[in-house]
Amino acid sequence: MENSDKVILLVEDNPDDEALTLRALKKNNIMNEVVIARDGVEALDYLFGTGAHAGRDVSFQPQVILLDLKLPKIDGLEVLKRIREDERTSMQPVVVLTTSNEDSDVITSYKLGVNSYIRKPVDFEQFMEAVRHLGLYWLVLNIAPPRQG
Amino acid sequence: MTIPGSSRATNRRTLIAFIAVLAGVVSAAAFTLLILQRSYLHSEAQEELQTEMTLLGELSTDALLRSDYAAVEGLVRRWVNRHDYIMQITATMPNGFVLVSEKKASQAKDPLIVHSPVTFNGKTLMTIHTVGDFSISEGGYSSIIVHVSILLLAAIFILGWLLWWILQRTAIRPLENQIAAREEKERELLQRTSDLETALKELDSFSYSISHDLRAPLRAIDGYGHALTEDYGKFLDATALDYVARTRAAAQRMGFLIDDLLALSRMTRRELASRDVDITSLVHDALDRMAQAEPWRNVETTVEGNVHAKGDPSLLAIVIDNLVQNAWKYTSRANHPFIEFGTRKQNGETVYFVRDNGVGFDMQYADKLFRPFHRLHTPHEFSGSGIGLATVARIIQRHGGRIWANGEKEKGATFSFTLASRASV
Ligand SMILES: Nc1ncnc2c1ncn2[C@@H]1O[C@H](COP(=O)(O)OP(=O)(O)OP(=O)(O)O)[C@@H](O)[C@H]1O
Ligand SMILES: [Mg+2]
Repeated sequence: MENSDKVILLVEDNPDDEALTLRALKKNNIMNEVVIARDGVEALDYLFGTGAHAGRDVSFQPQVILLDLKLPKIDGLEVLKRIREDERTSMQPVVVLTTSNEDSDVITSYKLGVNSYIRKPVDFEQFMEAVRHLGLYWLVLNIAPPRQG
Repeated sequence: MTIPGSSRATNRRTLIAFIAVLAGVVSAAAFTLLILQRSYLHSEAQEELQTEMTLLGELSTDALLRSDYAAVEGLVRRWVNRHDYIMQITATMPNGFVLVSEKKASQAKDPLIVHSPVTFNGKTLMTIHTVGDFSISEGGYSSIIVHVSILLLAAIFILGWLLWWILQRTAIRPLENQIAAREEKERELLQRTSDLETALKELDSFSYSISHDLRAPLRAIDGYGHALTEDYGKFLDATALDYVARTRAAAQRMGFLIDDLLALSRMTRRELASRDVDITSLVHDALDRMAQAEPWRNVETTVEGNVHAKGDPSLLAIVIDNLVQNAWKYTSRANHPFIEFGTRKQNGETVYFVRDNGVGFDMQYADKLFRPFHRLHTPHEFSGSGIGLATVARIIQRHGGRIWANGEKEKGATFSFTLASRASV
């Protein structure tokens, strides 16, 4: 695929899940650069150019954010809320990629304006399938919000 | 909720009000009686005074005829002195000469006035003018009535308190104690409810962390297994590949078990609806689904028509689904598979049942079927995780009903359940 200039932000604290998600992306020929944030704070720092990412040009935003819900420090729902509240990132495609299928998590995510909610299945083949659809939609078919400058 | 102390105060107030009203009624009655009595007594006294005056006149006639005025005066004075209630008396001669004039008091409270002329042969010899006081006379204010009224009032008060006291002892105290006991129980119940709510919340967060924490490692096992097969499959022999496949299968199976467990716990916490549910069509739907999934199977079915129940539609659908699914599954090796749904009346209750002629089971284990993950057949014989009947039992239980199983090895099984008659769900 031709979209390697578009960055994917993967917010994931579990190293196994991180490795497997990267593998699933690779196996689906999604060659985009993947930026990894290991907790909610890191994710927000990246998006808003603060903390460890101070000075980052925030007019470049990821094509899609893959967000786990159970994260250290600031949890995924809170990260999602802050993304939607800030006008720099309010239009950003966010896909929740989580283990939980608690009704409350699904409902809250949609209320906060998530674009997709994917529950990570145990079966890796199913997971690859989900990632394939996700890549197809958010990286190929979807038109990203215009760059802000 | 009423606090015993305040309820006692209310009781006492009511009693006091009752006594006061009773006393008021008695006083009013006594007062009316007094007034009626009084006017009667008044005229009686008036008449008596008149008679006495006439008598006095007759007594003095003799002296008057003799012109013994001193005797007349003495007679009148003695008479006056003997009668306390006479306030004034004036004896006047026809020529205007006042023979006697006695005045004990200038004003009588309740006057009795008598003019009594003393005549002889049609000639007036003297006129006696008397003013008496009825209130002092013997027939005056009927003190008896006053006394009786006072006594009555006193009796009412005493009886009232006695009544209160007896009620206190025999009825109110025990009642209050009962109320207090019930309130205590209510408080306990509230406490237990809140404990239960806390427990449920804990269960909530417990299942939440299960769904996260247990599934994540399973994903890693399955994912790395997949990676191993894919990337290093060429270095592994068939046995090694089989081991990896088994590892992955086990991980996936555990994933399903966790999901089932979570679904079961969610089911228990869900709010129940209470609507009319068409059970017959639920059975038909379930059978159709099974027939669609395994079109090659030929199962004879009998479904009682027009069976309705009151309950939660989606939960009752799960019940029927599971029972029909089991009947379908466990008749798969029968020669002429047969599944029946019907109802029967038993002690005034409707019993719903699903019967089949499948492998059946040993009655010895009949109650174990309803426990989560308890199975009477191995996965080799029949697939499944053993959560189906546990879910069914929970749903029936939440509907206020009962479920039980009857079976015989190699003959078949019958699953019967009831639902609360008055849908107290
Ligand atoms: N109709 C039946 N005839 C004979 N045995 C039955 C029948 N229904 C249930 N059982 C026995 O009761 C056990 C528990 O049933 P249950 O429905 O809970 O689990 P399951 O069918 O094994 O799995 P699943 O969770 O997929 O339903 C079964 O394993 C089986 O041994
Ligand atoms: Mg079953």
